Amino acid sequence: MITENDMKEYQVIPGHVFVRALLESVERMSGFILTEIENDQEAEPDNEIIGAMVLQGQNSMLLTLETNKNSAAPLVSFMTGIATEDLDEALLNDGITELINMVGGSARASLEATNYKFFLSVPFTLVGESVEIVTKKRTDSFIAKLVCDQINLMLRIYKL
Amino acid sequence: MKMLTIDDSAVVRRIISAAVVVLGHECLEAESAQDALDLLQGSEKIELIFLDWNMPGMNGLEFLKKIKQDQHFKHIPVVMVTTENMPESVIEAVKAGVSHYITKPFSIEELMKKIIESLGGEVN
Repeated sequence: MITENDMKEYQVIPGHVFVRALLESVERMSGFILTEIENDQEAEPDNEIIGAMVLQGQNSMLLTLETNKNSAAPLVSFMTGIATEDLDEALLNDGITELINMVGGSARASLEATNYKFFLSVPFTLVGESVEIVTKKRTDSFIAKLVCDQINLMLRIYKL
Repeated sequence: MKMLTIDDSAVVRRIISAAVVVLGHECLEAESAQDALDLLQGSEKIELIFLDWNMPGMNGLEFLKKIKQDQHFKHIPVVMVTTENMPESVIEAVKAGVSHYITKPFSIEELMKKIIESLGGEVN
């Protein structure tokens, strides 16, 4: 159980705040209701799109949203009203980047009164086959896997 | 009625354009504040602007202050559509002259309500 004091003292990454922000962003923008499931590393899909932004502050973090094109397509389709077959890669990447931007913005407001107060960098996207972020072994991170039908999303927060 | 959405995200521009078209209006798109200024200074008669805050180059607030100082454009109502959701940001934008403020994420219903309100209509 994460206490307010833990958050104030930066003992834990406040992952639940970002998960809540992602759930809300996806539901409001696309109507999909994601469910958080237990993380199973064996079942991780190959990432093709990683939306990311740096949260700069006293306790800086890297926030990422990892997914593949098959997951991004229905999400962006329901956000924009464009049929999945008409979505190009640029729109898929842009949709995931915009979602991580919204997650960062929502979480920023929630964490304003804690030691996690941060400024947002410009969001950016990493793309490619099986793209991943490799960090040093001791880097603390928070991982949440969220699904809805064929949509698989992985939210990660790295303590920098 | 002709409207203009300014956002570096093509997805957001598409969402706003689609809502405007559903309401029976036309929507032009600009992916930067500079492109929007060029559009305004052309022959386009814009009657409502949707403006993102955080964009590369000139940001939304700078754009807003610029057009509010211009006799030709200062009457155009501006709806800020942004992830900037801190109270001080909203106050700053209102002081600079925005007529409505929408924070991302938003639902399509919320967006349509704001468009109708911005045009002086009532929403039940």
